[in-house]
Amino acid sequence: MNKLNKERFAFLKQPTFILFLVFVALNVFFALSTPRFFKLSNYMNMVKQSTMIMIVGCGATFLMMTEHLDLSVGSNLALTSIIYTFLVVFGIPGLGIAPLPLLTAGIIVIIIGAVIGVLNGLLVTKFGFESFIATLGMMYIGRGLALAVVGGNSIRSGFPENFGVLGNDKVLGIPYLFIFVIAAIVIFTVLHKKTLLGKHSVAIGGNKNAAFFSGINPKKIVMTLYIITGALAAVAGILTASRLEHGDPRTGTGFEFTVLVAVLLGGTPLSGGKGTIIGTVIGAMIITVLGNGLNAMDILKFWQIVFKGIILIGAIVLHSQMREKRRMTVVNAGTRS
Amino acid sequence: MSNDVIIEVRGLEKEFPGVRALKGVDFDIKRGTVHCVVGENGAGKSTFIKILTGAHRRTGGSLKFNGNDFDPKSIREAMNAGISVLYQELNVVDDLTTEENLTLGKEKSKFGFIQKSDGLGKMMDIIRSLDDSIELDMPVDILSVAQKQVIEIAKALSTDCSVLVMDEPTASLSEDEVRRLFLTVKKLKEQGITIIFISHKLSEIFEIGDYVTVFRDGEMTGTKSVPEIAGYEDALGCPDTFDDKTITDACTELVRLMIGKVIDQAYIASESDYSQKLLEVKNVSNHRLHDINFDLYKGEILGFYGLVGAGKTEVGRFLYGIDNYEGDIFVNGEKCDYKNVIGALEQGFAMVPEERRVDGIFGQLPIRANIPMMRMDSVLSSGLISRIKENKLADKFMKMMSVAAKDREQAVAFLSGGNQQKVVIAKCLNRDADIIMLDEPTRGVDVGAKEEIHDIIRGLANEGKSIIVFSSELPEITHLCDRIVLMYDGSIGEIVKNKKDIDIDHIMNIVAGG
Repeated sequence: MNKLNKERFAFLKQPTFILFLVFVALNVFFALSTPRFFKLSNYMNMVKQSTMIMIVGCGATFLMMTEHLDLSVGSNLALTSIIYTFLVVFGIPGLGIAPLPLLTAGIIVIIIGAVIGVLNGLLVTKFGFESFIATLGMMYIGRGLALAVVGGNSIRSGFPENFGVLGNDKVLGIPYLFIFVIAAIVIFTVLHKKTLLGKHSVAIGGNKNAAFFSGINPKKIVMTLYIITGALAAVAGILTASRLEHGDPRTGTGFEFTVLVAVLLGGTPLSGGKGTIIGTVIGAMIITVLGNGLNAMDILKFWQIVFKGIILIGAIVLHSQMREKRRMTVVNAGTRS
Repeated sequence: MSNDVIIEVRGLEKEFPGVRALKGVDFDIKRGTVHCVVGENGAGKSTFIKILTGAHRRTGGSLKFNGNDFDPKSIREAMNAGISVLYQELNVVDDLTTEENLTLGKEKSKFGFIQKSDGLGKMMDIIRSLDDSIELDMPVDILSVAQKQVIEIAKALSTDCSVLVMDEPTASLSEDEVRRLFLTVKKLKEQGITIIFISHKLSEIFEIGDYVTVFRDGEMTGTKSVPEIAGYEDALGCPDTFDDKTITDACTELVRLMIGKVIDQAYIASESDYSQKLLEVKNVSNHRLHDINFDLYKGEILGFYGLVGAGKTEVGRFLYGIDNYEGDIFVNGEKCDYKNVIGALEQGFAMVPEERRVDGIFGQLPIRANIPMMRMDSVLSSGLISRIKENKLADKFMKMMSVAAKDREQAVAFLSGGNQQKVVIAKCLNRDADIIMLDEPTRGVDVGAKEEIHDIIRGLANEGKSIIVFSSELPEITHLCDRIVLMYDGSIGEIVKNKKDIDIDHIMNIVAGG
């Protein structure tokens, strides 16, 4: 009957849309609570803060759709960030190689990031480790290596002059970081909606048997996703070094969980089978606005962490309730026919 | 070999370590027919299906498909040859659309980008002919179970399948949906597709089946045409639909083939005290059961018998506080209103569950730690677990049940099936409950241990415990039980008193729906 009408307003019931409303509500709340929040400069700041979460979140969303985690992204970011900084400042002294140009160093560390992805992928697909264990191990290994490379020190001087461009400058009034994020969102949304990789990722997480009987090779897909996520973490590592204009082996501590929370907030369940890139993006925005807004209100960091936990649990409740409701309508539909 | 035989099975054997699941099976499946396969659990029908569909390899005999030897090494190989399976668990991805599900794994792609598939029109025609309410862009999770089945059927048919195996397709369907599935099956048959139909609901066979093969204990005990089993000489003169009486008689015949000759082990009456009614169940119904009424006396062994799916396990589940129900349970004349297992235990029930490995044992723990699990205070000493008490308890029960184990420290997972079951029973006895329920007490237990377990059960009854045994083995029931509750399709057909030469035919007739 009013099928068309129903379809037109179906988006109102989408968890992603409700999440977006939560995001808007948080903005209004903070804007009314403190004059320091609702400013263009502050929003630019927030874009920078959320960039890394969104970029890495794109890969992490795909992984989680297949029911896999990557807890090594924070260490991966730190390791690639510190190696990138080291290469452009010192080169490779042991081999007598002079400081490398930014592009060369960037390509090298993206490869390193991808190799970490390969290792994660091998542990999971070839040796049958749970992704939680495999990537937890890789998290410690990566962090340790990052600290070892520079003996625990950070690198704060000797940078080439355009070192901070990507992280801080604008082109045509748009920050480079913003361009990176938009590119990542567009590419991964297309991957999700239009390619075999996206569809098969959903299929593997949604129903392993169905995927198997349809002749899909889950190992290949999961391996590919770990490599992509590793490479994305390296990109985030380069951007982080550039934004902070120094190299710090302790950067990105806890980053893996921030990404995880963004993905969960965005409606990708731990059990996989569904999820959207845009959901993760909104998840990342909520986390960022929450942290930034509470900061602006001069609320202690400790309480911010508490709020993060509450928001996460609240969002999961929201998502699971939506699912329950949907199931109910299905049951009714079944009996009606 | 005539051309109308599509699958020819000769002397087919399958041996698993320690078990002969198929002991040389011969029969033919004719092209374009609906061929039903029935049998109790463990009779070998699923082993046969698994060999046919490439999930298992045969260990002997031959299997011919379209006249050629057929030994698929994988499910895919069987599928490519034209044999597809509609599994009981649905293999659709809920978060993809109908179209995405139909093309899953067969997408046309360019540089990883999905292109429009050409086979889609054909699949859509198949779907439309089966159920015209399904649209290509519908997400599958809003569809009903029956509609999801249609999608799977369409998927199977799109790969030029000539044989479609349906594994209990009606198990989770409503009556309405079953009707529609049967229409689908008839349409597929018209298109010349051979259907192998596995079901526990015998009456379904007489609605859609052309032939039926019965398995028992790894052997084929009969392959007959449906008119033949319904008592007609041939298809001529056989009506399209049968009346209820004919179907019941025919089902009884099938049950006879499924169960075989019941070797009458001597029934020894226990010392039941029929003046003391311990348990009374009145008008209990729930989603699986209709109007269940029975009572249980002190020192009595009450048996529940019925075919798979008749509702035996469900009776145990509501008694044990697992499933909801409407109606009344009285223990010692008082109405009970416990809502969970803890309540049932406090009321004096204890249960030896059907799935021993899943629900019965703590496999990694030693025997000593398993036995006190249902009553921890039996091994507590000032609030802490006392090793001395644990050891004493373990020794007592291991001796009483003659559990064959290295020592009481052995992990239960490494014991034989029979000894595991003894540990589960010991765990249950330590509860010292008045009413002990045992669901399939001797499944997967060797003959020797079986007798020992029967003796233990008999001994308990003689001590004054009241026992309820749920079993799908008729000899066990007639050997052990004082009264037998016969179940059919969620209802009690009749409660019969056991005696030395009990009328087996009558029992078969009741459990077949008579």
